[in-house]
Amino acid sequence: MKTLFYVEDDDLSREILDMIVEDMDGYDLITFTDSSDFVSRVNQLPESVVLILLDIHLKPYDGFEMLKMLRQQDRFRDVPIIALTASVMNEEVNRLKQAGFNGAIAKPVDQDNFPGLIDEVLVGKSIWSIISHIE
Amino acid sequence: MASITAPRTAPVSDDVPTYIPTQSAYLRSIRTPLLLVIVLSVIVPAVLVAAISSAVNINNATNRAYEQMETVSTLKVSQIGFWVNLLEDEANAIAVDDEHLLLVRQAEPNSAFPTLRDQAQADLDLLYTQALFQTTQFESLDLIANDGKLIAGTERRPLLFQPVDAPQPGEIVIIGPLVTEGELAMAAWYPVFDGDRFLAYFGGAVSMDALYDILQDQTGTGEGIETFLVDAEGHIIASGEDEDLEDDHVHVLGETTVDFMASLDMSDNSLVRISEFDSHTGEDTFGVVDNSLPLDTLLVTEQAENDVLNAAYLSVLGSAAVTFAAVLIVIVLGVFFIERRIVRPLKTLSTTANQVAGGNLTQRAVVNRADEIGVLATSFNTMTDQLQGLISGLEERVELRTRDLQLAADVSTKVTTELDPDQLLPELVEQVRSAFRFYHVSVFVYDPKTDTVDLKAATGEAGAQMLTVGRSFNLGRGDTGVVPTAAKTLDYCLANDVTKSEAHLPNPYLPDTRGELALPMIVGDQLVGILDLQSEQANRFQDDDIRVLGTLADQIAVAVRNAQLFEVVQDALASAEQANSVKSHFLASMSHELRTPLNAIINFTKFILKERMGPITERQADALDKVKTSGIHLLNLINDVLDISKIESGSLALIVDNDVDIPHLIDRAAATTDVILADKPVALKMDVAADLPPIIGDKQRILQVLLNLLSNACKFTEEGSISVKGYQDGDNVVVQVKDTGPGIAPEDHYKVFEAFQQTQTGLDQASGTGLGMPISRRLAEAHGGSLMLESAVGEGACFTLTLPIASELLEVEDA
Repeated sequence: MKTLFYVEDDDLSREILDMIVEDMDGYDLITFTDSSDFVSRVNQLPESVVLILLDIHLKPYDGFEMLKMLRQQDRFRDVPIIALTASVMNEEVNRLKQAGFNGAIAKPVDQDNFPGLIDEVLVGKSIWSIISHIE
Repeated sequence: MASITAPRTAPVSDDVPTYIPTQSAYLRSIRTPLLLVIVLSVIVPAVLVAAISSAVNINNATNRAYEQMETVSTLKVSQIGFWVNLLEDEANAIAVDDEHLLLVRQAEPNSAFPTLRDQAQADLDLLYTQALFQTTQFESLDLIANDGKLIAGTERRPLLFQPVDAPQPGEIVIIGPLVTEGELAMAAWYPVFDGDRFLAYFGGAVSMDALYDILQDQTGTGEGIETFLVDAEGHIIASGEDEDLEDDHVHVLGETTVDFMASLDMSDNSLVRISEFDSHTGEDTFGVVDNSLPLDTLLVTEQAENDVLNAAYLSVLGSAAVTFAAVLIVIVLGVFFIERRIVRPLKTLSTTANQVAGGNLTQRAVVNRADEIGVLATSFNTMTDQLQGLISGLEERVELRTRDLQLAADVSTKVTTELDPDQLLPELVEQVRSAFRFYHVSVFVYDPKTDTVDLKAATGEAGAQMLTVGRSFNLGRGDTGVVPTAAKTLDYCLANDVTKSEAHLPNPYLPDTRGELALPMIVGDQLVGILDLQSEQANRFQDDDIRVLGTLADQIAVAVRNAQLFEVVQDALASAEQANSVKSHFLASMSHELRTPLNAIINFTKFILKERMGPITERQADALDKVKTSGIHLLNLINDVLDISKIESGSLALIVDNDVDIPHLIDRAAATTDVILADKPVALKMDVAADLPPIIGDKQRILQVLLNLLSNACKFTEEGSISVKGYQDGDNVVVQVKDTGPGIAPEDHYKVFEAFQQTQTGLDQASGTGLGMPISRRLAEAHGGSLMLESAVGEGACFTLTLPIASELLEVEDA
């Protein structure tokens, strides 16, 4: 089982992603309700995480601070970290790129496209799926 | 002087043309006519005087010669008269002797004593022979009867006797001198009377030696005067010159002389002057003819013309020489005078004039004379003084104007560089004040809202105080003063002496004001404000100043107006920027806030449709499908509005890769058409070259364009086909999407690419946002490519997307 982490304070967003991953064979999703939740629980969790999805508007640490903290730990240094955000203005995307995110997925999430994106990230690609033309 | 009329020659210095007298100009110099006048005025009278004096001389000489010849002639006549008297006396002495008388009575043919005749004749012969020795003048002595018969005598032949009609007692008859038988001869006959009875003539041939002596005697007659006797035929009978008579004592005067002599009217005059007749000597001669001789001949006294006139000619020659010498002296003196007194001073003056013409205005002519040239030099100096004054005055004026222009230029610079009125006006008033050295300068700006002119800038401490207190004139209320008057009339208002002006209102802050000028600042026909200038001197403002300052006021007006407009624009720009920032912020927030609920709507609807929450009915699925479609439409709308907003704010940034696989993107876009086309009878024809090179670009954005082109074609095509062509064209990759839809009228083509401008067909199809094509075109252009449309109503539409393989606009980011 490949484990994905998702830090998100919006209940509906966590529920949707739970349902999407539920439908993906071989993947397991652990969600955190906030950055404080993540920080308090992360050490008790299995180490086999393959991907971390971060909302940006988090508390008390926002997405960028989270990224910074994660990159400082050996455990998460090489784990791809993807921003999952509703803020898709150019300057925000550029900030994400410069901060060192491996990609970004715009909200609303395209559930049909999502598994393919995860596959791409796991083979080492950057994904910047910020234009969410959902069909 | 010569230089003025001389032709222009090549300038010797850079710019100043110099007049150089040429050789021919020397001939045209004033000295030539002057000299001519002098010479003529000397020569003409000199020649006239010489000619007259020569004529008089010659005349006098001629007269003198004539008088001399007359004297000689008279002398000769009188000497000949004496000689004739001597002949008479000698004849008389013999004739009246009693013995002789007795013998003659006896011997004469009518004698009363015929018997005694022969004896008497013999006695007489003897007597005459003896008497002949005693006479000096007779060469023979004879007694001849009146009929010419010889009675007695030494010759016993009748000699040179002509009978006389009525012999008178004591009257001797002279015959000759005349030529007879080739000889020159002369005879004298004395009538012998017995009481009253004529007896016979006594006489004989006369010796002409004495006559010759008289004619030859030149004592006191002067050189060259000849006298000779001429008979009626022109024979020269006797002459003072022996050689004249060599040829048998007969010379005939030249024929013209003979005629001339014959023509002489000697009836009244015993002396007649003759001139220029041909003498027997062949020379031109003067002469005097005298007919008063007691002989049958004329006495001619003559003198060669040359002898007479040579002296006169000599004197003429002398006077001519003197005249010539005098003329020569006059010419030399004249040349000297002209050169020294006229030409040289004029040349000096001309040189000075040339130097002045060359720009050396300090040069002056030397004035050391009181004559016309001195006056000319003085006039020239006066003229040069005025010229110098004029030029230096001109320089001063130019300096003033330059200052004005410099100020105008400075103001212009200010106008273009300083747009902040709060900065501009204080600097302007200070600049104008110092440039023109005014007492005070201020600018009032017109406010149309209040109909007032308000003090906005003023110089000095007084200005600062007035600005603090505030100073304003209400035009509507009828405020008086120089400033409001100028504002109301839109023309300058001048109080050149405030003590005499009614327009001027005294200002307690400016106690030293003596003159005030208010100039309206006008742009177009609108009052912008008033430029107010104050001076400490009365009559400081002259027409020139007012003109220049008026121009300055207009310039300041433009500056103020520009500044005002700039202020307005700045305000508008600031509020526009603020509005834009608000809009961007709003859009970003809206986008963010809408996406989160849309995330739930779209995804949960999809989960239900996939029956993740349990089975649903067909109707429920149908309804949920509409919810999903609407949700997606709303999402697309949000995306497009966001894109347009980015594009219009210029903040659209491409995420550039260097391996964009166009065929792959076409496939991904084409895969979406199935849903849209559903069961419409439309065939999708793909013709994409397999070997298209990867290009530099933004994958997502290019996909967005392709999706837009294909969904657009699908939406508008009800039947027929959609053809997608992909190929390489030089440095570009071209994707063509052609449909068989209703087409677009050419006049509507621009609307296709214009945001929020849908065509009628687009409006008919309510599903689009109308922003897809404008965004697509901008995205293509952002790649350095293009998106073109070819279409007409009823002929379908063909969109051509051209993208450069390696666009120069894009930089691959390091990711």
